[in-house]
Amino acid sequence: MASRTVALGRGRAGGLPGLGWLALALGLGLLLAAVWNVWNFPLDGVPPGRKGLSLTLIVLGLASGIYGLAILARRMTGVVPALLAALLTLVAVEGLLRAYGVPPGLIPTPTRVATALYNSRTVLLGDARVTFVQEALLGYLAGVGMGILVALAAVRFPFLERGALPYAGLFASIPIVALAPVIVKAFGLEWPSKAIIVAITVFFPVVVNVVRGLQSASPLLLDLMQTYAVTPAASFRLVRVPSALPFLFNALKIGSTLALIGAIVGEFFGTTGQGLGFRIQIEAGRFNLDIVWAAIVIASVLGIAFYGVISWLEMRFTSWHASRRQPG
Amino acid sequence: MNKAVLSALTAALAASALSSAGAANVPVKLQLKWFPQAQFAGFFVAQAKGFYKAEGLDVTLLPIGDQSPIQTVATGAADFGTTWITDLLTARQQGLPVVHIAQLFQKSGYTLVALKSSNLTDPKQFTGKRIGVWPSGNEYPAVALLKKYGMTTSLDSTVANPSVQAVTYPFDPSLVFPDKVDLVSAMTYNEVDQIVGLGYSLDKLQVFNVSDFGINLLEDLMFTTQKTLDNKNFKNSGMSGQEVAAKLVRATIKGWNYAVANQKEAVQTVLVNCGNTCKGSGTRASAAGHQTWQMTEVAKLYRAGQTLKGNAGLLDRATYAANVKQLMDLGILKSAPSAGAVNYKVWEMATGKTAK
Amino acid sequence: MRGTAQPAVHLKDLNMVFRGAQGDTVALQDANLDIAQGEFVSLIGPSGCGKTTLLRLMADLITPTGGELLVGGKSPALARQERAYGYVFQSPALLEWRTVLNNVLLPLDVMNTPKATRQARAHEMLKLVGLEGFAGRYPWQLSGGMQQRVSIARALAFDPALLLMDEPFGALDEITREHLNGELLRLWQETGKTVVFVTHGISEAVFLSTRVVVMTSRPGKIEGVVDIDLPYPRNVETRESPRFFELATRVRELLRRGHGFDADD
Repeated sequence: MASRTVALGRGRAGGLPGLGWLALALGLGLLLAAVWNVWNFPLDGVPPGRKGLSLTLIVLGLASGIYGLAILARRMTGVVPALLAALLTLVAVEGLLRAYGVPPGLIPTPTRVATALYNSRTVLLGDARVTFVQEALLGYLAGVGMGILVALAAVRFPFLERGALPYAGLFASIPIVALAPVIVKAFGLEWPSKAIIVAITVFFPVVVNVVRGLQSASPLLLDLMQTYAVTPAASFRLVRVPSALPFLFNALKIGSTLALIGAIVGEFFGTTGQGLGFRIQIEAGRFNLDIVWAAIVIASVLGIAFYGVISWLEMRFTSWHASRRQPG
Repeated sequence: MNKAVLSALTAALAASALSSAGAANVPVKLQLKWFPQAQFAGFFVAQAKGFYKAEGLDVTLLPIGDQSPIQTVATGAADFGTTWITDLLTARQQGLPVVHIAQLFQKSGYTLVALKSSNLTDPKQFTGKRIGVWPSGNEYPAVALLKKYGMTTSLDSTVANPSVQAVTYPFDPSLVFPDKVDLVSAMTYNEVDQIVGLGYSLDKLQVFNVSDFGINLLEDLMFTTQKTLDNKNFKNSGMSGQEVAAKLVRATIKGWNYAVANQKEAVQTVLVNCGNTCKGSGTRASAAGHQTWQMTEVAKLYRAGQTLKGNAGLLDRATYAANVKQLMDLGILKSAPSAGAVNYKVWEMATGKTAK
Repeated sequence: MRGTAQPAVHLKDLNMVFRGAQGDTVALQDANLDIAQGEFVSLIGPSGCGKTTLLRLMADLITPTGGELLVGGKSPALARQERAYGYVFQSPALLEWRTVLNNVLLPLDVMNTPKATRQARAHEMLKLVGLEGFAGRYPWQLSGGMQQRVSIARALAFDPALLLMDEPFGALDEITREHLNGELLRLWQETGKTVVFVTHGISEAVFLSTRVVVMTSRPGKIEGVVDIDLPYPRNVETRESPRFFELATRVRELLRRGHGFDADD
């Protein structure tokens, strides 16, 4: 008897999210109806009546969907509300583009992009392998490695820090589009030239941040090590390196976004016919914007995943740092 | 009869032009396909000699980098544009309602250049070679030539083991030639001279004009959007879009005829309009020298085909049909373009002739 | 133990001059002092009186420009190499990437004490400062007072005979400070260490010390020494006793004499 009451109570409490789901489903249904209504017409051949009906359905569908989402978002955490919002947006965009007959050579509909993504998956994955694994990742690792080495040298030899580090800051602000053609010319059209562009763009923030990080070590902690009469190497390992970690991860995160940009932009200045940047450029010239968008989707997913992995490592290694502290 | 009507119409147009001479000219934005250079001499001459003004048009010539002029015209940032026929037809295939209104160059100036020392004398020998091409839709003539000789390239996203390695780079041939590629794309009127400027005189170069090998994909044409042509009152000028197009085409043809006949003067006109973009490369860096070369070469492309028959600006129907067939054979076009892709009426209105 | 022939710290005509772009600063002038083993000596004075300088000289973190300084009968450099003292800083100076336990383990790790005893010793020290339940926490999860207790546990972990403390409770609120004063007094009595304690709190100095060394600034020098003869155990009543006030007043007068104005903080 008691358990029954509890169940009833829970049912009443769940009434609100129930309404949310209902409104969301209704909204999605209306949006899908709007898309279906103008699905198969030539671009300039959508009858005005159908266009009007679809636009109305889209407005109503969005209103209902957003209302439902607002109710659900109050009770849900995590990525689900964001994903549902993206779904609503994509269906609405599909409907709008089809209702207005927007040429796919200007803006392809989401379904066209999805189709292109599927049909060209082999080529696009090959491009992604070249751009991400060979150019971005190898360049990134090389740039980070070199950056750390140079930072260590700069901290070890103060003349380097005073003589060369100010230039690092200057070089770091050279826009990549100015750098790319020179590097491609110097190192050839294959992937290594792009990896070098990536390495250079990643290198400078790493140097600047790691030097700043190593120097950020508290003088008190260095004094403490002195009172323990430990070797300078041990003091470096025990105090300076951990102090530099949050700075290093900061540079690693900046670098993770720079790496993919560098690889893609580098490809605009000459390639041997593979890579996401090459694909975007060549297919944009052919007005195959669906493949261009598919390549952009892949680049975005890779970029977000890369950033995510670095953030996870940062959480893992610097959870003690003030900026990473969990409340409570 | 027809002719009489047209000449009457022409007279009326001229009259309206005269009557509106005092009033503000109609602002027209025309998108070029590259930076200001002698390859657009006709446009600059028409502007400088007041041919556009005489038609009641206030024309602005817009430069562009390595994007397609289609984009700016289709989105309304420009009213008219000049581009290559493949660019126009592929854009139409993707739903962009752009329309061909006049064909300025009657012959392709696209070439592939190799060093004579490479011993390449026939396209059949291109297998296994590396070819430098420009992206953004400018790669098609090379692709077509290779396809004709049964070769595939890495530009085709469906081919796993291409017989020719295509290399893309941004326009300047010195970025890749001759150390990174065996053959490089070059326009007769531009990059060929740049390569000469790099220290390879013409007698050291093997130049493959693709038009000599049956690939004559037409280049500089004039186009606009269907929407502009359908406009009954272009920018509140009281003229229809079609009328404005006809005036623009007429003045442009006049400009080109003048430029080709007075090349020295045309080069001077262009030089006023260009900064660094007119310079050549290396030993041929002088802007005046390079633009003189360019003017000489584009004159050859203009003075060919229909121009020689007195129909400057007319798209030759047979060449167009051959272009379409070639592009379909290549798989670049998936179906034949609709009749609306080319509008002959504008040219007829502009010249008072009948497009045969 | 007290009164053994070998003093824990011996200084004779000790001088420290910092050379700078704006001229030299005499941080310490002709300081003379002997601290016996097992003593609790406070150095008190206004900012710039050289009390922290004196502590850093004893720790061999800086080198004197003149005079004689011996720590446990040896040069400060040798004393530091032999890890003769533990140092507690103004702020807890904990390694924020190490847990409380690992912070206390730090000196044991770097000094290669036998592995088997390290953990036990560290836990023992945490128990001594009343933090045995916080071994797995990170410093940021502790209050300022608790952090300073960890820092004291860390200084005691390797059992140095001498404890150098530089205003360890300066940043804490009055209530926490008095509580930790009591704790420190208990630790001192339990361990029998020699403590040199820098402070600018008069009542803190009087309450904790066997002797209070009053210093004055410009130039930094020792103005006088007050023997604190308050009985043990010292507690809340001690702070309210007439003798406490007399001694505090003497310290205050010495401070004022060296300054010409009221130097009470």
